[in-house]
Amino acid sequence: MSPNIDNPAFLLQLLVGGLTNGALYALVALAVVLVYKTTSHINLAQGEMATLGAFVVFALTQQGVQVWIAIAIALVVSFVFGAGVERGLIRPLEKRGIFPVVLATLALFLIINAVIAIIWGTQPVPAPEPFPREIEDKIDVLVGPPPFFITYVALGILAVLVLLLVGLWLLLEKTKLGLGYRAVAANREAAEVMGIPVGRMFMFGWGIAGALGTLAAALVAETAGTLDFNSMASILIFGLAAATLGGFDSVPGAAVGGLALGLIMAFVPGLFTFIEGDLSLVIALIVVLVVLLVRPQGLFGTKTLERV
Amino acid sequence: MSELDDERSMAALASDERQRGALVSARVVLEGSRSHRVWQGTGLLLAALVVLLLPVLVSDFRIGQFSLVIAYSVAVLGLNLVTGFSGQISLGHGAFFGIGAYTTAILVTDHGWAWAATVPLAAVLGLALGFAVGVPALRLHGLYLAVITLAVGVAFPVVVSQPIGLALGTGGVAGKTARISWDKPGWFGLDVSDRGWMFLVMAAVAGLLFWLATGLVRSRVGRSMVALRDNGTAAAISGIWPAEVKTVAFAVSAMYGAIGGSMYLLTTPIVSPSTVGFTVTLLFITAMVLGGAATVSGAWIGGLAMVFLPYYTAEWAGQIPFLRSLTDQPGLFANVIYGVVLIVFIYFVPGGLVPLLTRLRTRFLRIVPPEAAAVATDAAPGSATTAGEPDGGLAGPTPAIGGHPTHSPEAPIRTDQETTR
Amino acid sequence: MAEPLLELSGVHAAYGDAEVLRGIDLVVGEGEVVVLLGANGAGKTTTLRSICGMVGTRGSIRLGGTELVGRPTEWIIRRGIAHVPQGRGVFGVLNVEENLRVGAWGRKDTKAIEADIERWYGVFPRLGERRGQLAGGMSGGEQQMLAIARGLMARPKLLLLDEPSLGLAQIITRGLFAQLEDINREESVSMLIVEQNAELALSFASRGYVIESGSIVLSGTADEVRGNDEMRRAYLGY
Repeated sequence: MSPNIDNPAFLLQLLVGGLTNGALYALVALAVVLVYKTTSHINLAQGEMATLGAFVVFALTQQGVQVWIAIAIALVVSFVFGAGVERGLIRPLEKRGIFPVVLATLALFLIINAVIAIIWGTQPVPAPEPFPREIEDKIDVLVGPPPFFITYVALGILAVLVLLLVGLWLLLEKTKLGLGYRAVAANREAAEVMGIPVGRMFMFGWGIAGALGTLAAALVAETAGTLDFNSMASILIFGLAAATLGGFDSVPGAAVGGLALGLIMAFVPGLFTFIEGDLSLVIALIVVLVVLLVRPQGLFGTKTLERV
Repeated sequence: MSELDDERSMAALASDERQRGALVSARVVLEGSRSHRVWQGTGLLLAALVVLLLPVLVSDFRIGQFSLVIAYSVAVLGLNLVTGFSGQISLGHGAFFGIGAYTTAILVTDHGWAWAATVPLAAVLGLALGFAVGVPALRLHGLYLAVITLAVGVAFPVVVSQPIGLALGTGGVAGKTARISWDKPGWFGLDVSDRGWMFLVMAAVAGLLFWLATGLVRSRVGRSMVALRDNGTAAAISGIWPAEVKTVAFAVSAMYGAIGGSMYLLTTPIVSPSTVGFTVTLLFITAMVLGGAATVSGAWIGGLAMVFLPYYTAEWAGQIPFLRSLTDQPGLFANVIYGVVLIVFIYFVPGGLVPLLTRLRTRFLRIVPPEAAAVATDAAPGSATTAGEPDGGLAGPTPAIGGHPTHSPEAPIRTDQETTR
Repeated sequence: MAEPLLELSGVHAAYGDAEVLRGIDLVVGEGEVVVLLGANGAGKTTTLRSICGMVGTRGSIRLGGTELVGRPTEWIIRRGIAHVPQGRGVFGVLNVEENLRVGAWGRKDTKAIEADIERWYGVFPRLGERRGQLAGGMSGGEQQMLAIARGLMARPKLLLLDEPSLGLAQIITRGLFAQLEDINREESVSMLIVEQNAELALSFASRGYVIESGSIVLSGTADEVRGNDEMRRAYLGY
């Protein structure tokens, strides 16, 4: 056990750190879920597409574009790219089952990863900074010692997650587009018979997922300080673990799963100091295994992935 | 949707009947007959001759490349066993490959073991990790297995560079070196170098592993694997235990990956986190699809592609000034090409190259099982592609990945004949 | 009869290589109720699916003179066909009202949609009582009502009903058919009904077809079909 267990500042720091990281996992998990809900596919290239989007932000800011404008442009580009991938690469394989689609997303993974490395090199580049991240950009809560503070970056990331959830809720629950999307997710064949353009709903899901991924990658880069062609490799795993935890077909589940995973990964190594080094991937793996053994549909999921 | 299913299956029956009747004029050989064995023997002899002559004829550099082909082929074969034959998605093969490579490297360098002694241990560790990862497949759908194996595949290279890995002797980010060299024994008559001798030993081990895999695929377990992949429910009804079969398939696959990793150290004196990263897994998967997922011999083609595609891509990219100016790592172009090749194959050659080659060969030589022979020679029915023949280690039908195995024109002749009688 | 509302001629349909329909000819007139009978696997469901463009189809399917074959499902639905699929196919995780709104997907007349929702609540009061409830939690009969109301929300010229009585108690089925009869009369919606309960369907329909192995083997007025001995033995059981 950690010697700091009864130190409130330490615990609060773990809490905020866990929630911040968890918000990033939640964004990736949301992307995974929005693709999965309608198409029953998992886009394994989600992380790479997100990295590509973050590099678009980087390239634009290099050209002198203001960072939030750059992010807005990158979100649109990623939406179009995500929708295009669904239409051009995935849709023709739809009828052939899960396996070819998984392979296609893996191919995309390879291509995007290599293309990023070819264009921007394999060395990390400085991350775009949508939120101020200087040493003084924080709110001091406990003066300490030990102090407890919340950085603007952490606040910004949590605010982004909250805004996004509200936005998604409005989009899915209050618009006709959202109704169509939910109808396709609930019963694809019946939705088709209602005259809903099912394919366009798939593209919509993939597009939103692409945009969410890009936002996540830009924020991941800001927390890390740098951006490189492998930035999202482990984040995708965390996002998948969060989606498994929350339930693959549940939007609120993705958010809760992400935050919960972030807390687990902050508190487990924080309190059990005999864990040396960064074993967060192992913790994520254990979380996935436990969920699958105990409650395969996840916390909020309505159905398990069909059994073989 | 019971009504719909009924309508579908009834029509499927009728169409199966119509599909017979394409006529191919080729030499027909009975499976298991004397002439079949002569053909088989000749083929094996030729292959052995090529392998034996290779180290005599080509340079040590090339032999190094071909040795790497062998190591990769064994690992790809493992992936074929789980993905091709049992229809499950494994995204952690780089980790299994890695556990074999690290086991061998650590035992050889830190504990002075002989290479040959490390292989069984590497195999057992691979098998154990395979079981540990495969058990969730006992209960759950393939996409979950994909998520779990993906996590294993991504976590492995990270874990080996963490303190826990360092404590085991992995050498961290820099990797673990292991210099293994043998002298050619005096009794061996052929004029080959030490490297050539090593290649021949590797080829012999690989030959054994391929032979075992062929046996496994043709065994009851192997046939259950295929049955399970094509129709899980039907297989379960006919008394195949899906969970057990899948777990065995997965563990054996991991074992082949680990042995491939051990063999890798005979060709390259170092293993590092980047050698066993997720990219390697992706290359294994591409190699598998390229050769033919549900074939044993396809693994060779996959191995060849894994070695020579990046080599020639780098050479070619180095000659084009524009590409050379883009990056100092021409290997990246190979990854792009891998990705494109994978997409092309998923779309246009989902069965891989081996079934294509087999089809080509059936123009000249067809091998049919005895019970089908009477019909085959009289009326020459059977689909034009004559899949289901035991060629090149092919067992059973070779359906395309994600094709419609039950509607495949390559349905096994045997069952066709039985239904028409 | 002038130009019929729906006319199928020489329709073949197949799933992959598996041919299910082998040259179907079928006509539904304006305002008419037609029943399609047949054994399991004969091709009844596939006939409805090929009208909606949900299965690979050859031949000609015309709605009011417009060719439907080769068109995407959403296009066909917009032309005035509503399909109430077998097993009801309501959206379980959407509430009753949302289900109805999905049914009106192709319409833009917001005010009329609101009015229609209230109208069907009037016809099916159970739905009105449960408008906020998730459809998945309702009984089979309620789901069937919802599926039919949802289909009617599109203001179709032609309603395709795939085994509306499946899994329903006899008494509920009778009530349902009575309501369908009213709707047919008052809204002049034509109907093509696939039904196992041949006796009930024939008492309501004006004409009937019998399909066997993907071909129409018998057609005529409801009385003719009912009067055919072979038909009676095969499907009516008396």
